[in-house]
Amino acid sequence: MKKLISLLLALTMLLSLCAFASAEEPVEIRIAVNSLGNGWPADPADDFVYQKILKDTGVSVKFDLVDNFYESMGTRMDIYDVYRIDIDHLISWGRDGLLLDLSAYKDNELADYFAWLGSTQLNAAYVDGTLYGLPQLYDGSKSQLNVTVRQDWLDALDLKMPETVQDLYDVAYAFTFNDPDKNGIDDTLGLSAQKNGGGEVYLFDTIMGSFDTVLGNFVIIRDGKVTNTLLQPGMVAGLEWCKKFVDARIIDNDALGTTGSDKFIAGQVGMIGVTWPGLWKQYGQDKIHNVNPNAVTSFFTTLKSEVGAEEAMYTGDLSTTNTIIAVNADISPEKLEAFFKYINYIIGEEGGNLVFYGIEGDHWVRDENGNIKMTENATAANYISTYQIFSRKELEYLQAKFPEAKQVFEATTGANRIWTYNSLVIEPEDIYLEDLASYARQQLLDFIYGDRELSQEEYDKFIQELNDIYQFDVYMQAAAEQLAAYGLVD
Amino acid sequence: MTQASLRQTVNRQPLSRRIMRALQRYWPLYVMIIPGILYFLVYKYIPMLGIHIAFKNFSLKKGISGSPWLWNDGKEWYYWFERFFKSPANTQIIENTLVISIGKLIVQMIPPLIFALAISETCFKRYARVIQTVSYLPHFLSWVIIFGICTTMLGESQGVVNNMIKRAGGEAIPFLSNKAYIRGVLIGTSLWQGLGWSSIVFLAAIAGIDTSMYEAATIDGCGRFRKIWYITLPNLGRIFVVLLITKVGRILDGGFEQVYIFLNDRVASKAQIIDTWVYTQGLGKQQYSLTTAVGLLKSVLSCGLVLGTNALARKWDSSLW
Repeated sequence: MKKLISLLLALTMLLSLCAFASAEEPVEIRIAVNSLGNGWPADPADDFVYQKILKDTGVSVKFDLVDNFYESMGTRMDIYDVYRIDIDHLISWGRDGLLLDLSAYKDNELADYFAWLGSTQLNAAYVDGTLYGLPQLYDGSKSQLNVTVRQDWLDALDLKMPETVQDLYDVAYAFTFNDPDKNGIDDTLGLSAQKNGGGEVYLFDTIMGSFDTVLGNFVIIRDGKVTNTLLQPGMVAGLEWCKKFVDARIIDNDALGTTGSDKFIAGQVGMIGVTWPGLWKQYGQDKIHNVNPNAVTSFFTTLKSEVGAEEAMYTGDLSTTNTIIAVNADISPEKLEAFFKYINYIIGEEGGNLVFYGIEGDHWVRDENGNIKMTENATAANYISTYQIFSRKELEYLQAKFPEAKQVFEATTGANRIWTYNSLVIEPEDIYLEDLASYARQQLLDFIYGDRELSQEEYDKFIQELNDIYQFDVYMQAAAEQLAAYGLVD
Repeated sequence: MTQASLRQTVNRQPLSRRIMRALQRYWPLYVMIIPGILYFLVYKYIPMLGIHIAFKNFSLKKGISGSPWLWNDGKEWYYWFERFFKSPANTQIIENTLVISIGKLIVQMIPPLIFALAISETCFKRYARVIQTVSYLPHFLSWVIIFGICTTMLGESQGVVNNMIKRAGGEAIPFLSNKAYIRGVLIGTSLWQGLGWSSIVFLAAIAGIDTSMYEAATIDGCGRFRKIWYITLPNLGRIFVVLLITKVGRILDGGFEQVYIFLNDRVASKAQIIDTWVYTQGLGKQQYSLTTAVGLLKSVLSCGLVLGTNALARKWDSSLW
């Protein structure tokens, strides 16, 4: 009898322990990502954001870095609950049944997120009419495209900041041949660019923007109709200008393959088109001044349009091209609920400030106007960008984070852009879109570099080739239909 | 019992017994071979089973075995092969692959041979050893680093070579961003990287040549070049053919890592190879079946090339098998 009682007692204690454990056990969500923020803590105990989220929501959010992300994920998908993926994978995994259809949660658990996100980029997450993902916020300030210029060189040669393509040519010419650094050696060049990761020919986009187009296959909307940058009427005139720059040898051809940033820092190039104003941040400025203490930088965002268009230069994809958050189709209801909790936490004010800036009082404080100001300790929070899975209100964030580059952020956010819609278009199965885009870029460069005769007639022939060989017209037809289905055109 | 009759007795034993005996006798050797066998089994043979997705409509959800065969999915069995060959870019990339590969094959065979001869003929052995060691070093550099060196040396606007050309009054040459030069750059950097390393085999073969032949030739009045021509080169013939056969098997590779790093839109029409195309088309768009089909096609063709080269080599009695 005694034995039985003690056994029962032990069992009760054990059971209560289990009950206690399950009540306190946080729900863990594992998110697979292909990169982590700088200085990512190996141990969650050192991760103050993790701890705070755990404390406030009871959700344990674990980010896992997956090397060779897409190659590895094929065999590892069920380990993770949530994935940060690109639009191509959203389409293929969604069609494959690997991703959860989120449509049912749109007006309930995710209602606040959709209100926070706004409308247009949401379209990017639909595949064949099903909502498979949650896009990032893209509020137009995301890319800080600008041309950074050596103001001291302009002053030395008594030039002013370029406003038109002709000005740009004149300044680049003077920077190349009039010895702007006054060292008596012919060692400078007019215009360079950061190499763009997406394969766009960014070097010439400064010029092409004035002709309301971009070098490459980009779907755009003009006068309420779907069209393509390749079909823009200003294309040939723009290419002629690019050719003029190349023929005059005032442009850095190396920038087609490698970045020209180092040359700008080293004082070898006077103007550089950049996508992210790293040169404007303190460390960028320090680098420039290490080489030349008297260097002064300024910038411009757009040149005057040569074709009377409202948009003047630069591209931005209206839908998010890079990353979308998608959920494993087999996620358990508890985990899904926990994930929604996490989403609603980080789009709220407290959670938002936590994942954007860190802990109040430690990494940031509010100044007398109520604006967020980073403290000296802020670098300890560099890694937390990983937690910003839906990106951020960029302008607000960058101004707080890098006050020294404030003027660039403000100007670039306000700059006119050529909005593109490629990521909303799913190409018909028998079209080789990569080959089409690659061929278009190659031929456009052939026009510029004189490998192909540059005339309207020859350009029309090129478009005909695209239609005949690569089914460009079929692709554009599909684009028109799909964008109309989203309600973006009639 | 004589040695011969003993061997006969042993041979008369059943095979299983003989294997057991061999295992007992040489067990340390057999144990040592296990990791090697496991390696090839796990990394080379088991993955080969996955090749059949070249004939399937592969889906990550359904897995390798669960994905439907193409003919059950309303498609022809050669659908993925056809997709590769129907690509408008395919003639261009096949041409690029072959030209770049054959160029590399030549520079990886002939210059290392000449280099090995030069090293072996050098009188100052210490000097030869230093040169040899220095020549190995590029082999250990990754292509990313070599590309960095190339942009510093060959860049159009600030490259060392172009700066010299410009100072001498010439015009800068766009080595890295001009179609006319890119294949040369790819083949040239491949030569620079592989010269020393590829010469090792030849040096080893030269060291293995019977020195009495050279002594006899000296007595017969042969000079240095005659000795190379009549003794060294004929003795290297066999190793040369063996190397050629193994390298021909990789002729459709073209060197993905190198080409991918050097590739830009300006030169793509002369430098895009099968592997880089597969990467952008296949893995970029998750067409695993397509990439497997192209890989399989490459393997079959390469295998044919190896067999063909070997059959050709047999005519001169220097085949690999």
